[in-house]
Amino acid sequence: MIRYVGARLLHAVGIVFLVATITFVLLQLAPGDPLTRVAESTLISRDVIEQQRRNFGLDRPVVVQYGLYLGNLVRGDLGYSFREHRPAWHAIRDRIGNTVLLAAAGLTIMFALGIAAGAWQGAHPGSRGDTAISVLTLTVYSTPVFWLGVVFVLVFAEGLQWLPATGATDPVTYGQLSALGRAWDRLTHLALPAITLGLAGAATTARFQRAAMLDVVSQDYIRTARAKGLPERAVLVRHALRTALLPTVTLFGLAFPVLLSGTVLVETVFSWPGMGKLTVDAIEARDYAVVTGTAILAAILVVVGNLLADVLYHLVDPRTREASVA
Amino acid sequence: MIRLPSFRRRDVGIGAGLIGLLCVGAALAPLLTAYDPSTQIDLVSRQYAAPSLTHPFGTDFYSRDVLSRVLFGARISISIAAIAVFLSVTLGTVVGIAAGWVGGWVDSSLMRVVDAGLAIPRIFLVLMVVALWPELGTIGLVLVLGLTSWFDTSRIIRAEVLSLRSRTFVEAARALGLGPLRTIVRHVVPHLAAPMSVTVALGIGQMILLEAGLSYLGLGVRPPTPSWGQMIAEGQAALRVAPWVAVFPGVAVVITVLAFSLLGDGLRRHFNPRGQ
Repeated sequence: MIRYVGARLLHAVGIVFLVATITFVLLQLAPGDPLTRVAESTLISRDVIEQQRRNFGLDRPVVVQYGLYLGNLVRGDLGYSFREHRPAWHAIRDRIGNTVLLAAAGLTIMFALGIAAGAWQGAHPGSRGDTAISVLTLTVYSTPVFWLGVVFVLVFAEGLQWLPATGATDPVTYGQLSALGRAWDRLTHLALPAITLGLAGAATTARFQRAAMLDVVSQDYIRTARAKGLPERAVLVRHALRTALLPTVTLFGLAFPVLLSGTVLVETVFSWPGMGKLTVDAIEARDYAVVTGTAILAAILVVVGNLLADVLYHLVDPRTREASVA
Repeated sequence: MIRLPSFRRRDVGIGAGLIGLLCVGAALAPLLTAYDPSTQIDLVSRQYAAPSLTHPFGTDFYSRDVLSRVLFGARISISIAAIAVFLSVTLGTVVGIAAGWVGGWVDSSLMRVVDAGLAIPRIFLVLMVVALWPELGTIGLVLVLGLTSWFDTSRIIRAEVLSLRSRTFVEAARALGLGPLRTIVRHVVPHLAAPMSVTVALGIGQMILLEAGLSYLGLGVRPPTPSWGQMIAEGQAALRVAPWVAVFPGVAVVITVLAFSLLGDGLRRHFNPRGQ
């Protein structure tokens, strides 16, 4: 087990290193150096620009720049955010929690809803409900997540006025609320973005889970379970679903990049103060350090997610334990 | 025997039919609507006009006809997606064949790059490129979309090539003295047609979603060229007053992507009937 985790960890570190290299190559290929545009601005002090130029060695050979770039990254220095007048990492650090919160809530909805719908479908193939859910999931799968968000705003915020449409907290009343009130305020603000993100993912999960369940219910041991007189519920939940959940664990790893891409759009729809919104705002201001920094951090989140999924799979599927290092 | 929902047997037909209709609609856009997509008809009396017989989808902030913009938007969105997918599938196929056929360190280094490419959530990767090359234009956008989405295709093709490489007909071709290039082009590539057609169909749908997302963020197709994502963003600003501005382009995206998903899913089941 430890050897397995160690090997995966090494692989993960290698991927992050490659991602950083890709980012560096893109920065090199881009017209001008990241500071030329900034240097035209009179709002930023010469000293800061010169200090950044030295720090990243922009006047030195490419190999040296690459070394400095990696060195800075390892020390957590993603560069300087000229828009926020502070290190890019500080700008991102303030927002990353909101993105993780949104992604975690979305992930929960995605798996809870998707597994329930898909497993039910797999257990009742060809039924009217199966067809209806299939049409629904395929439609949601084909729906742009940001438009789904816009429609939810139209219906639940503008129309029914049930939930707030923007922000993570109420800008006016939040300061005066009690602890409980604050928690409730946060929850109501989280609801629409999380449901939007979760529903989009749930469609994929359901399609996946349906196929996995279908695969399992036609196997002999399920027939055996039925033949020995187990109630249908026990057959489906304890015997079939347990096995059918295995492939879904791999989806857990695959879901991360999609989920994070989704947060960029969902955060923009709902003005959710997260990493995605920060990136989009940074692009308009040509704040490169923040844009490349969030890309690298997003990649790290993905790699960590994949690592978790691998280890989780290893834990739940005894067959992989013998084969070990893949 | 497991009975599949009946709609699944027809989905290739429905998908292909819908795509045909959409393409005809996009091609004949100037004939189907009386209005130019960027003409501001009458800023005073026709701003945010509700859907009616003259404007079935209503008008937007600039009093432009939304139906006309949706139709012309179809041209932009579908052609950007199609060209970008063509690019990415070509590139992915070349890389996949190189990795799968040559093997060894070529394979492992190419696949590590693919791993890294897949680790950056696609939108962050595209955003980074868009940030670094601000004046891209539509052609640049197509290039960026195409060049950043070949990673999973190359993995699929590599797996296919790996299994094809050891098949007897490839061995036979080699035994007959065919060079590697000829063997690949004449004997391997034709067998890749099935996975490639599935990838293309599903890929175009996903690419339309990605382009719409970028344009929604204001980083894809630039105004005044009409694009669905950008129309949704404009409509969101007036959601209460004129919901139709955001709703109709969204419906257009859903129908288009649905059509490509149906086609892609149907093709996959056709080629790999035991997969489901």
